[in-house]
Amino acid sequence: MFAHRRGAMSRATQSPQQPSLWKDVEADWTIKDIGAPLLASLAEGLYDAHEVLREYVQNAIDSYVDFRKLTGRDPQNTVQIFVDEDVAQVRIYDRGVGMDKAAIRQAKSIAVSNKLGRQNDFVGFRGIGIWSGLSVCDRLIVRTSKVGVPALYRLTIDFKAVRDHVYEPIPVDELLQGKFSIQEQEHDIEDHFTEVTLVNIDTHRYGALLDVASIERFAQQMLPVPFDAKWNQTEAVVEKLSSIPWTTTYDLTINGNPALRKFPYDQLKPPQIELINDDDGRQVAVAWVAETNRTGTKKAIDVNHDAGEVSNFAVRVKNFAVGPRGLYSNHPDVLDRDNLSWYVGEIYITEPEIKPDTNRRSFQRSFRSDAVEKALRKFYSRIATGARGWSEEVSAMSLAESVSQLCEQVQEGIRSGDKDVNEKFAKVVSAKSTLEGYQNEAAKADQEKDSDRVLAIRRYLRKPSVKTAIDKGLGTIAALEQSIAKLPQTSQPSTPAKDKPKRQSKARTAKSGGEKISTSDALGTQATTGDQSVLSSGSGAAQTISLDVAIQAFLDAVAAVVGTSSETYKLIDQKLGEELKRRGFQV
Amino acid sequence: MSRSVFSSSEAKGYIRDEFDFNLIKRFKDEHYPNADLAYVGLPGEDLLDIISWRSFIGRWTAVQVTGSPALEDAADNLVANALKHRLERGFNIIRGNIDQLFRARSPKLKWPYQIVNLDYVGGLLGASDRLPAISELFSQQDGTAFILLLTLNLRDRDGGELEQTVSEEQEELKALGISGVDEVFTSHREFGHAGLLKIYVPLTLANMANRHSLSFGLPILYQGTKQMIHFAVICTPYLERKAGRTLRVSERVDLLNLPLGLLHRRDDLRKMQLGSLSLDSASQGAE
Repeated sequence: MFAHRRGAMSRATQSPQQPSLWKDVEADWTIKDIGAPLLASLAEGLYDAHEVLREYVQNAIDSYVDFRKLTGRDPQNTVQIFVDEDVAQVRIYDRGVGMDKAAIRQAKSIAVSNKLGRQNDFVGFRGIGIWSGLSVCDRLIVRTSKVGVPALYRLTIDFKAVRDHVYEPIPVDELLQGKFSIQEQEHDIEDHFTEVTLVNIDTHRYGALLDVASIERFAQQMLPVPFDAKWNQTEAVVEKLSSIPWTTTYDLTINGNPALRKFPYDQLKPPQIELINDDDGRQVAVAWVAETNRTGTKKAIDVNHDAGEVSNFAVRVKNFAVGPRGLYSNHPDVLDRDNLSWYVGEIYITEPEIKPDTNRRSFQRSFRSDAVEKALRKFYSRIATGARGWSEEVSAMSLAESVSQLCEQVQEGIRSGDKDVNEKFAKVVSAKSTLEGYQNEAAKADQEKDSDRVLAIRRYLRKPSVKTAIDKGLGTIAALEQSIAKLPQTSQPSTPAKDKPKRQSKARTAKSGGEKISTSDALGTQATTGDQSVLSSGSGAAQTISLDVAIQAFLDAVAAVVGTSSETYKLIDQKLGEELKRRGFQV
Repeated sequence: MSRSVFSSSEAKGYIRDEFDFNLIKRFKDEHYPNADLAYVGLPGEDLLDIISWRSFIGRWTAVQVTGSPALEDAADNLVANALKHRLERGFNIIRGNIDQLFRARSPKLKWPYQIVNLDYVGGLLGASDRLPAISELFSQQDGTAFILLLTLNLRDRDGGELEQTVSEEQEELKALGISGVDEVFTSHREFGHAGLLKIYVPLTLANMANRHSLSFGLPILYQGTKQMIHFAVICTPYLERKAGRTLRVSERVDLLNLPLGLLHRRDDLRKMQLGSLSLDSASQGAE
């Protein structure tokens, strides 16, 4: 089509009927066409203090890629940060490939970098890293010596002078001219390093850059530093990560003290690897996940923030963390997200098209970013609702185990004529209701429409150990009821009407107590209640759910387990009718 | 002293890596066997002493004078070398004049220090702040055992003060009836400024440090970029009297009887006894 058009143009040019033609006007595009204010956003501060530091650390780490490529040797993989608060200076020192004359000349360029064509090799890819300190300090000094080159180079950029003139109506070359210098001297050919010094840092805006403790916390959480060898899961995590790309760590020190990834000690189950796929089944990330091993009523991990410990999940792109922990979990699609604090883990993005935004606070928008964000949300939901399921398991086990003690208290109360026996009996009745609710929920058939949360709860309630504990608890209650039935009417305890059974989920988080629950949940907790005070009060039942619905739900659940044609189903159907009749209900 | 046949760095290297190293090791074993030592001093941008003694040091403060582009570069190089040799743990650099920092009791200094290395480019008396600074050092280190390493240039523009002080000491000792004073002082004077410093420095330090007991190692005369003399003193807290120690005549005699080390070659350190003073019964009674 294009060729055809060109042909048409050619004919038109020759046509005497169309004399008005476009003619090219000579014009060049030069640096003069770019005004100084273009640098304003960098000068105003594109990054916060820690992000500035990260940009230089990124450059340091990237220099090891070229070291390996150039020498074929294993790089040292160290990054040393030295904070000299006394003179408001920070240095970032690496033993990477270093720079020769051509490289140091290019280093001062803005958005011109050899990394741009090799984005999969490097962490940085925008080519503005060296300028990220423009708003931060008065001067930038880069001292460097390239491996195998007997020369030391020093690039000095007068950032303050650039800032002072950045809003002037002048071309960018005029702004930068004379604001930098490059010097050289002879140097040990064996030595290779790059040292970036931020001189005279603005302590009001960027004081965090001079705060060693603050830098250490940032490094621990955001940079590719090693796992703390003292953490009891380090070996397991490192082993599991060994086959995952971009999980190399770098020995980073701040004033000589190593920054290490730290997690709560002794509160976690062994880590597991989870693959995270998008809706098309394409892998977008890999995560290691360690679940709390706490089994009491409180499962959220105790995190010693002062010691640098963290919980929840970090999202890492090329091993640099992006955004806060639990990135993209603050979304309505993520169920039970508070339960993410029961976990420690990291998500390594393996989808190559995902890049962090300039600040690394989220992903850069792209064709794939929506799919990856969605996959992360599904992962969070799966993990967090799994926690909910576990919570139900613990609650069920705990309640089932407490039943025998409750029943004994009732028996003793009846024998001794304890005036509180009714209250204790109400607890038994409530426990029965709840246990039956668990039993029914576990028995339900999984439907496609069921939420992840419901499915997770069922999965945990179906565990043989849970089933046995519930059966045993209900058996104990049944025995109590039988012994009470034999007593004279006047000696039988009764439940106060106000004591409607309530579902007890000891392990549930505070927020989920007020959370909307599905019909399925409601059925699981209320429909099969054995609490006579509710069933017989009429109005109480109406407030919760109709008896018809409850019975039908119960039978549906039985059917789902044993099938409607089975003898068991028929027997239960028959016995249920008889039992309801015996209790005076019109069936 | 004959001209040295080996370079300055070799002479200094021997003193640093052999003589001082072993002295510090012995000092640490005796006084701080289970602790790392804190260093303050003038290590120079190459950090050769810190590198040599790193196994003893836990934290260290380098003082580097600034004020000219070359000195600023030296300070920069000092930090860069600390990073290069991975010595930055426990390191801080103070840009300034160490004598003034001592005298001003600068809060940037984190007392106490167990190694104080005053590797001066100049002499002791020419710089007006130096002696008061060392005096302040002793008072800041009250109660701390430390090793003081003092290296001085022999071309000290002292305005004749050194000769005057030494002569006064000579006359005073003679007046006390100590025998051999003239011979000992004459032997010292044969070594010129070095000989005078060998008399002056131990006596001056011993007078200043009235709350420490001082144990001098062999003063070493060597040829560096200039002629230099190196003193190593172990200073331990003096606890016998609250008012502090007074310098007794017998101690002065012991200090003057210290031999002088002459470092010719790396494996040729010679000890020279520059005469010998002895206390007779009359002078002992004068103490």
